[in-house]
Amino acid sequence: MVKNAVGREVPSEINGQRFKPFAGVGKTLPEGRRAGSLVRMAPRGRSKVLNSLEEAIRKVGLEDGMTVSFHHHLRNGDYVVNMVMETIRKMGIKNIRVFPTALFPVHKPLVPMLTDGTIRRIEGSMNGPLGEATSYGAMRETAVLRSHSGRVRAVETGEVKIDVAFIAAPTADPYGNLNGVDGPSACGPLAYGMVDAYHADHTVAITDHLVSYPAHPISIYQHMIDYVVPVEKIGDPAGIMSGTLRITTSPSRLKIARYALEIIDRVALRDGFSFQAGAGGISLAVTKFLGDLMKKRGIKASFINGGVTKYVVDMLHEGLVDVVFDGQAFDLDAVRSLKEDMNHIETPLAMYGNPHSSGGIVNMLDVGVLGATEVDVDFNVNVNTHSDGLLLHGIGGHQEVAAGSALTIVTVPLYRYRVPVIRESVTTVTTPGEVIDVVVTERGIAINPKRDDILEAMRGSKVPIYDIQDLQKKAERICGKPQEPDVEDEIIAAIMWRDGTVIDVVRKVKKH
Amino acid sequence: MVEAGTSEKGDVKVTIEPANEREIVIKSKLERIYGNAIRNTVEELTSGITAKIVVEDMGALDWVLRARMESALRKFRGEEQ
Amino acid sequence: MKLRRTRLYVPGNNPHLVENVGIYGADCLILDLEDSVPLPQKFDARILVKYSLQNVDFGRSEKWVRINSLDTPFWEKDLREVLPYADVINLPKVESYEDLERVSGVMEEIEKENGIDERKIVPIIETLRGLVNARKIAEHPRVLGMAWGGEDLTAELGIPKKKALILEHVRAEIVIAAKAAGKMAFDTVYGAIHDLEGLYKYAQHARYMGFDGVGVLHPNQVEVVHRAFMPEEKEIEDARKIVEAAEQAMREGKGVITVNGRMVDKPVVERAKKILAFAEVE
Repeated sequence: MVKNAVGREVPSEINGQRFKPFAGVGKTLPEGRRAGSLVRMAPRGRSKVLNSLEEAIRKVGLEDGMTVSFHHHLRNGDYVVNMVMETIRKMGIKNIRVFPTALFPVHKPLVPMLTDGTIRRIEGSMNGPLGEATSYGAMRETAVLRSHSGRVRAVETGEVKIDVAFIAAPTADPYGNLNGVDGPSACGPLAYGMVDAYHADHTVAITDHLVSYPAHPISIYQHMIDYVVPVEKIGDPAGIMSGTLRITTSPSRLKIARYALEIIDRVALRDGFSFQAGAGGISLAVTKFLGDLMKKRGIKASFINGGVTKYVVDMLHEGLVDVVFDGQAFDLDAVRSLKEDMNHIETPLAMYGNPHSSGGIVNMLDVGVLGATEVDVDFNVNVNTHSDGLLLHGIGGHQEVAAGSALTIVTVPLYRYRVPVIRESVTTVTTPGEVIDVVVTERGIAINPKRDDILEAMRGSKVPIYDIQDLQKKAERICGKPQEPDVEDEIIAAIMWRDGTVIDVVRKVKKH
Repeated sequence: MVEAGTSEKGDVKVTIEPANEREIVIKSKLERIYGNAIRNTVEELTSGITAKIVVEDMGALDWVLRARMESALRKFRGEEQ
Repeated sequence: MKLRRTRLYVPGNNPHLVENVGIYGADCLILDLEDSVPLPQKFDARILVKYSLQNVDFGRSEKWVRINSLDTPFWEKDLREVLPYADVINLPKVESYEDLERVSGVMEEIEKENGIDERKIVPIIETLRGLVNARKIAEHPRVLGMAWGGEDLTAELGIPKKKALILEHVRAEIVIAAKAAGKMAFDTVYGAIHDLEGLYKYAQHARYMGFDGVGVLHPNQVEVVHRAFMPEEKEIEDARKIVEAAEQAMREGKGVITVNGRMVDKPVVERAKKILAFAEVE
């Protein structure tokens, strides 16, 4: 174990693979060449359409110990992961490494597979039951969590080799052209799946909307897809789309959004600026308020990177922004706009924010507004574990947006139902404080001392400004001092910084 | 049996019923974070009382717990509402 | 001058709402034990409010408690529980000077027992009888200001509140009663909590009726009302001139204040001071 740049003890070997400790943002440079996938061919006349998943798994030669990947555009409505993993289990294939972009509560059926020998480990975000089971020690090997683009980097560098990518496709043609904007399970972009399609040794598309050749538009191209398996349903639209997301109605959350808006106004708002949008309640409110303010001031943004919702689409159609970059759509307005509007651009995740590439979208961001489970007095952010130590969330694009944006704002309540959000030390470091500029709570804001320019810009504002230590004390005064998580020494998960270094670990939580 | 508080988030529900032995039951999602603090407050406020005391916490701050405990204890002692 | 442009109601038995209510910058908070608390919760509520007054940071807001009315068995218990920790008692359904005497007597007892300062009352006039007696009620030394509510009153008249024309008269009567006694006047709440434009007009209307503030039901309303009570530039400019002239007259020991060659009376100076007070916060 070595101490890394945020003071956390981390191992140098995880699951038999060597990893460097986090050394600071931008301190670990890329090495070597990009990895490639198996070269294969599809002779003229050979059909790609198969009758069953079992047939597909047999054809691609999935064996014990191999790695399978999934994307999470179908979110909590996804049927594909469970369908594929259940087939693998029934076929008696063991010791699989599951490499999803993210898993959700709907993937609870994988929990028993952690202990029955089917799955040896999961490398990916685990939201809910799988994370909880892992916290209590159900997974045989150590989970590895990466950010959206950190995962892309791991694939591109060969840190993770995907044997078979199973790609949920809301629309597919018989020769493997895929998109996410049509069909009963439409989800918008297929951004998360692109890197897997490109780098896996074998690729299987699973669809419930097989259309005649050629499907169009095309998100994932035919020359990367080996097989197409039609099934009855790939997902439940109610879980895929969030419905029209509502701006928070909580007055304290709205107050947070208004404070964030004033910071953006004073620090970054100008013609041609850009920002990251999200789907959280506060984030939606900021987007909406920002749109209103831009309209009032006659300001136009160059691009919004999303996390696309109706609110972002409205801004595009009102001419408040030139271009929307879309890696993930949250409602049907976003899906429709992606399909119809050429200024609404689907962006591969490799373009989103891979730090070891020739530059991602996040490097062009002026403003990023993010959430957090905890923030500490060093501005470190935790989005992975709850304060009791349970691993319950993925990293998402948090690291990318924080590292990329010129102004990174974290919006959080001071505490949530007695649990302090601003703490002396976060339970888990997801994102280092060096890339967090301002923390906004309903009771006031704290500016990272290294950002004198922001402090200067806020002079004369009525937004209450505190030292982050004072916010922490305020939270503790209201809530009382929280107990430390009751954990064992055993490491159940590693949290990777986007450059492939280990920023923190999660330990096994004692069962009470 | 007497009751105070509600099951709303941020509140706590306290029930006290006569019993031959003193028994304290605490149910909270925050058991791992504030279980000790909740237990200490309840013990402090009910020391010497022989009854079954059930505390169902929904993320209440300590002063809320104290208010609900006082409510329940005063009702338990027969104070007119 | 203490501003009381907004008084934000919060249900007294909801800890989650109570613990956050101090962050919205309302001039006054009303921890409510009356209408927002169902009967079986009256006991819990008054204890919760007592604890909140001692433990929650309510910021710069003045702490009011609306207790139950005199025709309930609760008002005295409410007072005994919360009075030592509250700044102002908001008393519903006041109909006469004698009502205030009754409450005042109990308050005096509690104040003596606890060795605390005299607390003020803001009576709420809600009936025709109360309205008839409003001028007398306003004269009671404990009265800080006069508030009103239209539900019972319009019911007494058998007319729907939404269409009632008499309410403008009621407003005028409340202001006249309060101001003649040198007290503040508080307009009632604006119920359509999502209509912030309507609220702005409503609050401006209240201001030009002579009210010092309005009741608010939702935190989002606070900022809108404060904006509505902000005097216009011209008003501020004129007020500044008058106050400067008054200060100059004072310095020079003159009995007569003149602005642009015109004599200015004392109420005009007072008005100017009030306008500046409204203008200088926020």
